[in-house]
Amino acid sequence: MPQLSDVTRFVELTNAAKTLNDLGRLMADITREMSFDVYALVQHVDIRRSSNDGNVWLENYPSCWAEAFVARGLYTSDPIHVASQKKTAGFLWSEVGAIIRLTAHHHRVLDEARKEGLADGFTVPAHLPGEGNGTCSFGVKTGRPVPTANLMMAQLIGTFAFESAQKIIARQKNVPVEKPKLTQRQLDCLVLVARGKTDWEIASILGVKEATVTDYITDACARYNVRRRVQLVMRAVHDGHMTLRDAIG
Amino acid sequence: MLNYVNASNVSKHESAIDGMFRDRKRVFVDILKWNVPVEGPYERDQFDDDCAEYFIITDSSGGQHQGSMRILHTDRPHILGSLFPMLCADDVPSGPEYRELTRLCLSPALRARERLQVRNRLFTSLVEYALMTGIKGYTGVAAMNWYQQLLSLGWRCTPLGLPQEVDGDVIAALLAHVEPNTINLFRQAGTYATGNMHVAEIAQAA
Repeated sequence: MPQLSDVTRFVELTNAAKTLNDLGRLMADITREMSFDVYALVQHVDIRRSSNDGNVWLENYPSCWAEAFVARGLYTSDPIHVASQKKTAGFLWSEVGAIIRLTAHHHRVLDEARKEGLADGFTVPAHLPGEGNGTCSFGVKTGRPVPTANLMMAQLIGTFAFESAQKIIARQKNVPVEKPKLTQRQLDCLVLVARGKTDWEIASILGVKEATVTDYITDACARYNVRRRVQLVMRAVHDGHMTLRDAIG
Repeated sequence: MLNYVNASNVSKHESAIDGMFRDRKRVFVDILKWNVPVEGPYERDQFDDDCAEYFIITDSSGGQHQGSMRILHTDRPHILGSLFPMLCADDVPSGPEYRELTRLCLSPALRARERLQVRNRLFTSLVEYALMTGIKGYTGVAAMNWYQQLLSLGWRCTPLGLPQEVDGDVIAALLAHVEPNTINLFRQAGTYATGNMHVAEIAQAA
């Protein structure tokens, strides 16, 4: 079974890969061997942040498409990504309408991809509890057929490639990411921010000066390296500093 | 608490075993709708015989089942060898150095974070157990989302065949190697969580 031996060789090579660039080269090669044209290996956690932040963003899509995709925020409602969250195994892009109800926006994203030469493909979802989720997609250029005989091979390649990327990133980081700490006073303010209170209102509730509240929140934003309060609230909930119930009140 | 249970000590672990079979029914039959045999409140099949071994994690205060795994000998009838040999491109790995892991069951009562902790403790214990008893690897059959989770534990894995669609699920077989550096790989992946297995329990297994 040549397909399996190709996967096994790919797995051995990825085990030896030291950087995401190494993995990218292996991905480009195996993608062509499977008769696909392009691949994209993405972990869907705020992909506008750079990959050295611990997220995966590796692809050789046509550059005009990839840029438009990120710059215009198309990924926020990319129908392939949305569909991937409903699936545990790989699916053809042509099946996406049977997996989710396509909106006008979804159709526009698919049309734009087609215009840029990305007509059809196969996407392998990767769901890891506690790590968010990701996808490994293999695409064919417009006019070329999807290599249906290689889909199960692509499934396995996508699964192992995603894990390889996780391992490379974990090794590069080498130290566990410390969650930013917040003081009790910052947390008191943040809960009220989440409930929609202004600094003046928070100051009255907590019995401190308005400027003090602003300082607390600005400092908390700095600790999280975020600019906006809504980001701060989301991150604090994600890290377990407060629960959604706290935020709802 | 981690319980190692086999035919010789099952009488001392009746409540852990009872909780495991009940949660297996809840998870595999009620939630996942697997077509597997049911005995009253239990999910229990032909492989749950006197040769099966179990790792069961119970709540330290109330003794409730939190998570469990069944270990089968590969030189006897087991899931991959008996039910899914077609998932292996070559021979099904078998012999005293390989065991098969089946029926990973995490209690539906656990929250997401606890599920990960229980999962990590189970697999760390399985690695420690293998290192102490000379087991070189675990085989398993998994749906692709679980396959991804098994890889994410950090150990070196080899695919045994291409995935296949069986009863609407895409499943595949893999071999997870247990080697001297496996504990270290778990540490790097952030999945090392010792189960505090006691030597007395290992001796019972031998």
